[in-house]
Amino acid sequence: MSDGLARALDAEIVVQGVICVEHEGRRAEVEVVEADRLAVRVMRVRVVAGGGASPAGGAGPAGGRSESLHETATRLAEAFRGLPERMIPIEVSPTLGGAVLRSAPEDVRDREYFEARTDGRVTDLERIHAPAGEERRAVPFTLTRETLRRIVERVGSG
Amino acid sequence: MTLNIDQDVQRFRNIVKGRVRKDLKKFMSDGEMIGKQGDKYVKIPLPSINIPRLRYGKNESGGVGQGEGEGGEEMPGEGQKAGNQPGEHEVEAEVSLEELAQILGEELQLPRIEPRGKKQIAAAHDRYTGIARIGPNALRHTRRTFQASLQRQIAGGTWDPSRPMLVPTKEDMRFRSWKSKQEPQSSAAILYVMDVSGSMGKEQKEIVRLEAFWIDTWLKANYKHLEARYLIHDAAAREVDRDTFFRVKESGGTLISSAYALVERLISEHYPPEEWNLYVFQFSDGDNWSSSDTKTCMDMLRTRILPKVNLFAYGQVESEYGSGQFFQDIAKEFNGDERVAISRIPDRGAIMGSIRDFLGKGR
Repeated sequence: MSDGLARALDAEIVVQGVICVEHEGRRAEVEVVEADRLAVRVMRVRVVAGGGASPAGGAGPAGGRSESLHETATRLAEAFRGLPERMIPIEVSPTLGGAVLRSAPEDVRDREYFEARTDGRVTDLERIHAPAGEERRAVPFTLTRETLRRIVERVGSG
Repeated sequence: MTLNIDQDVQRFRNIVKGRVRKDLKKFMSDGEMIGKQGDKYVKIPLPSINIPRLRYGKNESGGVGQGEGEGGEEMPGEGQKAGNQPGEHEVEAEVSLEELAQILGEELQLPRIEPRGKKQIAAAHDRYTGIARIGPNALRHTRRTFQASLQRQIAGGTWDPSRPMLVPTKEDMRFRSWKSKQEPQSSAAILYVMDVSGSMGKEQKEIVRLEAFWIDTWLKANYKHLEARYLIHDAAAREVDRDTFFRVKESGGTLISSAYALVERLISEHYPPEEWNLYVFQFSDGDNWSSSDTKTCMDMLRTRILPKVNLFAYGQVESEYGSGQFFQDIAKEFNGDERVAISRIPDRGAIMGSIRDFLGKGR
């Protein structure tokens, strides 16, 4: 199902701007800066999983929800394996209903890293530049179309 | 020749102080000294001088200066092998925490803290100012005892100036006695708050530990009665002991308002502002979970915490992932407020400047 989402997204990415596709209750949103036949340069990738698949959603007990969020974070770390840097869960907070994943510290180069935030259903991926003593800001990053397809497919398959 | 040991000790202490002064920045960013901290002293390493001495060797056994050699010829000897002799140990000297605080104050030009007017509580002090007829022998006042004995003998006509001899009786005995005096004493409490969420690493906690040591040292020199409380938080806040404070690692998200709520509760339950000088030192990487929580924090600070404290200090340490937005938010909100001190601490080298930012206000 998500594979369909990834393929639909890939077909849509031809120009710059925010590309948004939906497929069987899942949605992918990509802010494209530049694209060619092989790769895309993006500012942000957002994947919204279907309502039924939301680990943080549902009316289950709080304990069950907390476990699901940890599981989601672990699954996302695996889903982002196509990125050039290994992603690890940094903060997982069932209380706050979300998790933050970032590039592993040993992979951070030139004060840039990937950051993914999820509430269990909506997941955002950005690349952050954090100069010393200055504010952090999102910067564009390049992915091959193949990597983008795989990320959208895996993240959306939760 | 007799050496005046006191002069030598004083000279040694001056050398030690000079070394601390010279390398203060290094000591401030180096945890080694804190690792050797006692209740009243810290140990600092001192360079030692090896005094040269003559050593006698065997003649004509080869070696440098023992005949002709060819270019590239190896020197005789064992080569690069691991040694089996004990190494030299660094000499350490003790410096009292008062001396350390004095050096810190002088080097950073820190103003003495002026306790707030009413923030004083009465403390009882015993002072030996009186004389009593009964007491333990350890407190016997010899001069007054003999005076009493002399008075008794003169009054009784038994005093013979040509044969002066005093034999004190039990009634002549005089003893030092004390009076308890209530003296006002300034009391202070420090509340250390640290973000221990997943984004705070080991190095960040080490920086906080070093900062806390120097802040403690300075405030202890300014207040006789100082209490420290340690609070940690991720999405929830709790109080811990000092050891846990510096070692605990959590992986939750950062909700700074949870810590502020605990600070407020502790103050209202234990530290009435009219009796205590209150200091809050907060350390975080500034990665608050949401901007709405940051807004809550600003409200809590302005209305519920700042009116009760002498100083609220916020130190933002920088992790591998840079530092968050909270610093800018707090700087914008409380720009020019004397009760708020903020500082960025990107690395250990910045600790000295950060201490100056925090304590330079003399509050």
